[in-house]
Amino acid sequence: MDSHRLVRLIVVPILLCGGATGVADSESAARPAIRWNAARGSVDVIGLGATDLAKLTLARLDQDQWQTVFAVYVAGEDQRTDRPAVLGAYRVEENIVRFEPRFPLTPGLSYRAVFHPNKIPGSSGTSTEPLAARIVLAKPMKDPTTVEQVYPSGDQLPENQLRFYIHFSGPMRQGEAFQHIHLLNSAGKPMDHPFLELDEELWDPQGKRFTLLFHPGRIKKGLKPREELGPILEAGKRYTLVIDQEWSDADGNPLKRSVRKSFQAGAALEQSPDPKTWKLSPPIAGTRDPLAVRFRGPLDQALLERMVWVTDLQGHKVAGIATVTDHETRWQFTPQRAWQPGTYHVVADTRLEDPAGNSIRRPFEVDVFHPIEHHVPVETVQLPFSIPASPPR
Amino acid sequence: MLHKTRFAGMLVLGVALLSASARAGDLSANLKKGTPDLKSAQALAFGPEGILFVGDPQGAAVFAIATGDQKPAASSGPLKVEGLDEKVAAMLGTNTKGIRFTDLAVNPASGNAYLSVMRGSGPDANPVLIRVEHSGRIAEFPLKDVPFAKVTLPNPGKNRAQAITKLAFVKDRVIVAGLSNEEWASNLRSIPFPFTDADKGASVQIYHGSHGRFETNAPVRTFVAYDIDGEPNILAAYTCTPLVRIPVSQLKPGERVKGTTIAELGNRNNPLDMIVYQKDGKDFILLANSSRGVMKITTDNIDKASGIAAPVKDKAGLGYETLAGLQGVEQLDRLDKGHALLLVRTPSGVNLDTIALP
Repeated sequence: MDSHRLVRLIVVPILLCGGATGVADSESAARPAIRWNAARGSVDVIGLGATDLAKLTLARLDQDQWQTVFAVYVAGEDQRTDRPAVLGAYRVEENIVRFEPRFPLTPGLSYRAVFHPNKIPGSSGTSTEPLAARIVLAKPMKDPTTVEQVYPSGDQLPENQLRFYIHFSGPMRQGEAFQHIHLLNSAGKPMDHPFLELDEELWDPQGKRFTLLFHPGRIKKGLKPREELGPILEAGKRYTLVIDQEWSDADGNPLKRSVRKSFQAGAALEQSPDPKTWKLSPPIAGTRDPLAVRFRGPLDQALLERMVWVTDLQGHKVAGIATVTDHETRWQFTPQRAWQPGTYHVVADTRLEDPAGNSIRRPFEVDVFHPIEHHVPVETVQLPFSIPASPPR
Repeated sequence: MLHKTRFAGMLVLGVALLSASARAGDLSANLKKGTPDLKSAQALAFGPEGILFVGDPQGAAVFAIATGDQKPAASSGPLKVEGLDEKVAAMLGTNTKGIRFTDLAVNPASGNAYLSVMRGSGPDANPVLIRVEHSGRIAEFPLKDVPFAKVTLPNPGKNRAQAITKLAFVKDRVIVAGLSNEEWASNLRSIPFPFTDADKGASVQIYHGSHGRFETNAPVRTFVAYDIDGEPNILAAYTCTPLVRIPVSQLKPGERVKGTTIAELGNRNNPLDMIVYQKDGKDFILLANSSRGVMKITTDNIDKASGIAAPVKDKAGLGYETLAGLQGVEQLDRLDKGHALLLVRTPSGVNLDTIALP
């Protein structure tokens, strides 16, 4: 059996077990063999005699002891033979010795299973050749993972931009992000460590969205990194964010392609977003037309998704779906049911931020010598709007 | 008369003995046997009695687990393991690319090293706790049928998660430093332990004032507990690079906490881990810095430093030196009175190494 052929169309992992190095040549008809059990995700030894099975059952071996009799190893590309055995549970079930690995075996990775009949406790040692088998599970064919979107989506960013959100089409491998993200200056040269490189990468619970922070030590005024190296972005200059194709997804495959986002830096945003400047376009009663709220400039995409909502006159949240459009300058709300005439409020959590980290509550940087205005101490801001009754036809 | 007094005396002694033993096992007494539903493991810290605290950002929770590992190791001397990543990956049925070591903590009660490992990435990833004994023996610390307690952390938003950059047991509470993947906030949460349903602890916002003028939210990337003049403090490294001290008494809800800058480490410093140790009668900070290596920082005048308010030109604040030859240190913890345990990434793999405290 050609153990290197991977069958492309089969989605369920299949057994490619077999004739590679080390399989014992047995003499008798009902001989023991090692089998991959796809249904159970286990590695089984079948064909053992009743005596041997009884000995194994009675011996009540612990994991360490079992591993001297029957073990599965990661063989890998280098086919090393000095690795510790794979952890898992051993059981004698009916006429089978079964090993269930602690975690499912990794598709595409080569494993080696070895069974030593002469290590069975109380064994007479007649059949001394160990059995061995090579196991490789086929990797399911999948479309490569792609970068779906980078926020902010516009191409004009303030020079004190604080963060990017990078959205992937599937979960990514964690722990290698900063090897695969680069910021190029206008000459196309990679800039020196412009981002905050945290061990604890900032992923969403699905592992599909990565939050990339510019180094706050160079954005904030008066700190050593900024005094040594200056700010990262400077108004008027162009930059390119590059996401390498080599960044692996959770299955170990590279991205479909590299992605480049070009942008120009503009003036720094140093004031809190002011909801009083937002423009509301109330919809018409009796329709499910969206309510639109326009901001003076882009706000943070992730926070817009959960920090703005609509309440009715009683203060109850109106059910519906919110979307963020126009490069994060517009928040749109489509109600589940038709709008009734009356007074409503657009409610914003005051922790809602712009792309530079200025929240409604407080700016990113407060100059305590020259406070711009008193801090907004409240938790939410409410913007009223009315939907008049439609005139009778 | 005499036997009455003797009896009363014995009664008093008996009661005293009872309450003493109750106190000794007090912290573990609140932990109930079960299987903790750990969804991830990003940060580790030991408390007394071999109690291991685990930060779970995916589950937005902190667990307290009784390891039952309280016997001091039979052997002493350096703990070294070469190719720990190869070995642990093999035991977990994958290759080195399939695992990540997220933290290292040495149990002071036994001298054994514990590592939190994430096998895989994304929602299907599995947390595993690994114990490395002084002999070099590596085994999984199974999370089945162990006495444990859990406290959940608030987490608004379905895409929002808070990375737990550091946690530590300080006096009678667990202090958790977190960094959100969305809003820019500096979350330090102080949770009383034993955990109670009623009190999930207070979240405190930490600010940094540079030049005593520009005040910003300052997330903490690592910290260590340290007593200054008998008063519990934490020494914290901000993501924006200053090293500060904060009295633990200030970590109360409603307080506007501004750390006092004690050192400005500057750019290209990625502080990962800090410990405090004693040498020749003095206290020092050992700080692992991913790009620079390992730094030894004095604590002379740490109590007097009213903070660095003037612009920083050269080495300011506490004196420090970078130790030669220690590159690639990813995790660090105290091993015993005279040694530190390091997790080091080399071109040929990840090793556990012991160094004498400098």
